[in-house]
Amino acid sequence: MFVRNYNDLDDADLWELSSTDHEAFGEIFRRHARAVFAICYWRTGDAAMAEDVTSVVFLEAWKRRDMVVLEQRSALPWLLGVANHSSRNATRSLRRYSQALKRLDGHRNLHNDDDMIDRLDAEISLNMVNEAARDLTEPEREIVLLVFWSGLSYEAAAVALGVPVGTIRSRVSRTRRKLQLRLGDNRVTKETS
Amino acid sequence: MNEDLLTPGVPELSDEWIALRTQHLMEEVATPSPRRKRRFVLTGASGGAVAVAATLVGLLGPWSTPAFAGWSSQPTSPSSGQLSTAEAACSTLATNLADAPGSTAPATLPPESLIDVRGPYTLLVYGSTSPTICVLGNGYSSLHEAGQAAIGMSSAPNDGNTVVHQSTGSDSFTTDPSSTPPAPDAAAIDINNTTVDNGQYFSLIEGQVGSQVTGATVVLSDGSSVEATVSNGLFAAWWPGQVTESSVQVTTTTGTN
Repeated sequence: MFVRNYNDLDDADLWELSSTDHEAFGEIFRRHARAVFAICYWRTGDAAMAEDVTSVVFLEAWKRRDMVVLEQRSALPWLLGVANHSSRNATRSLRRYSQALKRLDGHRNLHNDDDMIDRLDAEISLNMVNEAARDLTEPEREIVLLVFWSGLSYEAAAVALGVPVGTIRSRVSRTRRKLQLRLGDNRVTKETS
Repeated sequence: MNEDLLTPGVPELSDEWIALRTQHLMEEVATPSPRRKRRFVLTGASGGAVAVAATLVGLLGPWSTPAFAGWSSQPTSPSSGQLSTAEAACSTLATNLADAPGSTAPATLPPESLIDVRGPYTLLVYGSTSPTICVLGNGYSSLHEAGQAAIGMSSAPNDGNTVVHQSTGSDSFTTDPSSTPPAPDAAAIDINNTTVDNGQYFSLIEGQVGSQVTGATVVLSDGSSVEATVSNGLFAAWWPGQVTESSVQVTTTTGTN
């Protein structure tokens, strides 16, 4: 049995391979599922829903694979853009893939007590931040999700949101200004650019 | 306020979860999508028979090639008689749909709430809650009713026949009735849809806008944009292809969001 080693392949290689090698697409999922899940969780505030939306994001990505935009050979920005869109309309996204998700029934993970505590902590943390960010507009929230929290560069966020880099810059500036006014603190991000 | 607080925690996904979902994903992508079911009925020009059997769905008529010739990314002014022709065709479609076996659609359309014209194409929105949307142009017409059977109709004036079809499938007309009214300076999407027929993709979006919104632009995931029509607290736009919307930027009385 031939087992391909994907470690030396970047996303662009995997994406090209995936049309004939579905395991390559599986490798893309393994690499980026947690980052995609984070966006879905921050958007929905519901871990179980976010798990299913994460699956939906990759099913949607597969459906739209001919439209992928790789940023420096990484699929992550584009996937996070799909995640942002899919989780913003989570109910509709889940309905669209209800049949595929139904095939997961009986194979879902059972969560233990530690998982539940972990989820509760995350929920409390998210609620506090949402309170701080409640005045942000939708484009500003997207900046928080993708640039501040997920750490995308401006160029990568532009790919994720399908807007020019200049638009990202101005939105970042506006969002930071609004948060600083509200929070009275300039340590509001972990952005990379 | 510190950085930790501003980057909220995320529940941990176990390696087992990743493995299980990876397996599921690969099984799904390895399975070809089921072919969408369609029914086509050909009737005479004066015939009222319409076959509608499924409980949901599909949309537009078989757009010809070149697809959507004359379409504009910005709303245009209607030509003489364009609106009255469109309104009459939509009324006929509503009657046909109501007459269809198994249909629960009303024969009378709600009041018109938005008109969007793009070259030879007219999009009409009727009602505001779970609205009915009618799209016509270049010999094609379609009616979309949330929660009802939906039909697409293309007229072929040269042979006097009318083709009526209904389709079902994952690309069906979807609404989000749970969406709440938007803030005064924001927009909320109620309906977005991409469907394909005869290899031609078509996407539309409709929703509500807040009281301060004077304009809306739909930014698509490929970076292009489509200027929406805003009227009566609603916005609507459509575009050829299957590119999804990335965001809706609104112009308000105080600026742009």
